[in-house]
Amino acid sequence: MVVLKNFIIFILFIFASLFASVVYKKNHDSNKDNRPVIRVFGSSSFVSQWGPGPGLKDLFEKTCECRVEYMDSADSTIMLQRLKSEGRTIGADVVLGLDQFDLELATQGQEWKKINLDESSFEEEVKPNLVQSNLVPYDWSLLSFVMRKSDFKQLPQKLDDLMGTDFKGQIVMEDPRTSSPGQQFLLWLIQLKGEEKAFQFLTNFNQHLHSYAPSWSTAYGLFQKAQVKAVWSYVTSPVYHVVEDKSTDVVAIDLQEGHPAQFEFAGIPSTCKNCEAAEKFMALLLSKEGQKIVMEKNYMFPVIKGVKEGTLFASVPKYKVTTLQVIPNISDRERILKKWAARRRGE
Amino acid sequence: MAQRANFFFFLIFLLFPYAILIFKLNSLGSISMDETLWALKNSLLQASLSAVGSLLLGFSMTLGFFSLQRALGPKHRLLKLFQFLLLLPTFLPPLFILLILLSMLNPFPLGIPGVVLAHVLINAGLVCLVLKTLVEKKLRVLLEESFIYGISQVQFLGMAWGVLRRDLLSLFSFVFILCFSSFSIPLILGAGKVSTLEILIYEKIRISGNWGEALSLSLLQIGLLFLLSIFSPPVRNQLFGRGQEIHLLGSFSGLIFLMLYCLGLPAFFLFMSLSSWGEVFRIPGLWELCLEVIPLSLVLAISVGLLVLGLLLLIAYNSPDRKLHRLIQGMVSPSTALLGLSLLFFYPGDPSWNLGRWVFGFSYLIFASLYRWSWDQELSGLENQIYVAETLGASRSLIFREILFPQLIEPACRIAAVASLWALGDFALGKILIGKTLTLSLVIESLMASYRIQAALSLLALLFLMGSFCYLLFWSLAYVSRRTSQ
Repeated sequence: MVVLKNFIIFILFIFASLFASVVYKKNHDSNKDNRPVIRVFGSSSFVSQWGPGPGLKDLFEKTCECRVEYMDSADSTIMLQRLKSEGRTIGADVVLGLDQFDLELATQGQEWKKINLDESSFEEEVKPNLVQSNLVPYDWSLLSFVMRKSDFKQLPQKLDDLMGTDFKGQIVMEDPRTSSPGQQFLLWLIQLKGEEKAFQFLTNFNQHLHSYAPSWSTAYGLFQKAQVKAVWSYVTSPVYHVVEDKSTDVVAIDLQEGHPAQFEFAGIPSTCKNCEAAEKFMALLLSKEGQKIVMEKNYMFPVIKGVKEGTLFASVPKYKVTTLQVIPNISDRERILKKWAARRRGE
Repeated sequence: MAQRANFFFFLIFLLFPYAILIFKLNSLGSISMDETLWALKNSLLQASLSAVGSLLLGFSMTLGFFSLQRALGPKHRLLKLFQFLLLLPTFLPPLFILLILLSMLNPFPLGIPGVVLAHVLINAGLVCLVLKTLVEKKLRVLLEESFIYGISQVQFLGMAWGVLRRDLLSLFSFVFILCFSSFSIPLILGAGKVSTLEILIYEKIRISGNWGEALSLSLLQIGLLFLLSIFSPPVRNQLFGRGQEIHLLGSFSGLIFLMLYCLGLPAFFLFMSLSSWGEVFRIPGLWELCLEVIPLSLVLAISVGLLVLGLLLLIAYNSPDRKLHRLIQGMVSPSTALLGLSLLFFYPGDPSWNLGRWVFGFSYLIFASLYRWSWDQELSGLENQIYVAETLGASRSLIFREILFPQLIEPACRIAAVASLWALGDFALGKILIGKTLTLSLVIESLMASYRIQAALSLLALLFLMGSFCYLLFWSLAYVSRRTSQ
């Protein structure tokens, strides 16, 4: 029994040492800083060390007598539900990472502060998304099929070209039920061809797919690990490969049918605690300096004019935009997705 | 009295997320029968096939394990390494399991066959470990007698089925429930064709923000599993023997399966991970961040292990308790999103509680599974001893101190080791509850979300190393406990 006792003490010692190092670090960090906190909720790609979050934080804290604290909001629906249920106690001053499909849910039972904007400074493609002055886009990109030039003799130019034997089992798509880019594709296809024809197209198209991945990161991971030759992603994705891999082999194809656009929105909940600082943060996010950071770290287009000039993003070809004219409401989207799922079951 | 208090404690513990959600969301949505029945059919089909497949492969590998034991000797330390390697597929994030599977088998079958194959490969190691313990504990006498009477292998297997039938059914229900509530694998490998209840719950949350309907589906799921637990028979008590002839159960083909599983999968995984190790140093600040998050990741994983250990021993203290056994057997955690939300509602707004919330939430998430995995069998094996001690007038604390603790601390530590391993690999609940990249698995997840899959893959080797540390820590505790109680 003495050995066991000693061993338990040993384990507790290891545990206590690890715990103490964590507590010490936490205290050490917070002791230095007693400034008021502005709490920003965003996606993990935004708030992580290699996302735009840290750069914006450094820039913001230079001028603001406050400290930016990022929180990973995990999922926009969870975030919105928390905002509605917890209200002020959640302490969210700024919320980032909502997409077009979240807007309806975001405005149901949740108030957002009005944000003053200079509409003329926004890119033309972004302006139609400024109708809601309380939820503002802060980055965007078009979606297309991303592939490696070296894998194909000739790159496809229209959707039907993806039905060739070269692509059989080589395309990964995002599942529209769980991923925003996947939903963009489905709704864009319906807008393009009409609902019935779109589903007819999908019946054939699905035969050429490798799989439907639950998220963009899983789909892109499969592409990066060369499990598939094409992935539904952003036209700005190739810029990542130029910057990080020094490779120009990855391209986003230019479809004759055009491309849907995805926008990411930010807003200040009316329940904010440090609202003044939140407004300043939003101003920074939509400034040229802020937009440059977002563009370079998120690999998305800026929403403000005059930011991408002179950068690699300016060299991204001009793609034809066929963005969704009308975003179907929640119940309509649910109906379409049920139909999509029912068709998949039957295949 | 103590037993009743204990029962109510676990009743509250197991039901509290549902209670919070019902109270906070204030409504249960009506369920669309069409899609629910379809999802239910898929859930049942894939879970049943996965459970059968896992049991078959697990059984074959168990025989292989006995061959290995014969070749190396029953006390060889390499056997412990094999036990650890058997657990490896259960704690890797689904994408990496997927990458391994897709790289090994091209084209990989999608739909129900793909989902079943992936589940079998993930869970067979767990099954193998349970079966090994079961055979060692319950077939020794039978094996000795069969050896003496010269009974053929087929006859022996027939008799073994009679002895192990209830345990196998219990093991089947353990894997069945794991696969029934699996989310990522059916979503990825189902290729859109396999919609399960878990996927349907997520759809309700993600597409329409209909938390009420998601909660209704979750309650339906728990109701079904509770029914299953009512019909699953209780396991029998263990029989003792010397176990000298256990090696006779060895099988060469099983050994090949075991080798492929324990060496093939990890070798592939380590090759994939280490071949791009340079990526970790190429991204500015990544290595420093890793060093920063390692202590906290370990603290959290060990905390989960210790909490699970405590809960298991608490159950043991008040065992046998058939009502509690039924309750835990039938419990399944709500989906991660629902559990995360319920915990966020609990004492909201204070991020300093986030880490504690996660430790509690993750322990909750895996507790019922771990109980079903082997704890109920461990407890049932000691029931006779408890009855005898009670008849002789021993108090509850004396029984626990002198009978239960010495015999149960080793398996409890083994289960705690698995809990800490799983905790290290979690990012789904961590993303919701912790909110910052404070653990290594969250760093990996954030790398994946921003194109950096190579770096994410490389860090898996580090996660593997940390997993080994946690496993070793609890295994050492089990080892010392066993030695001191002998």
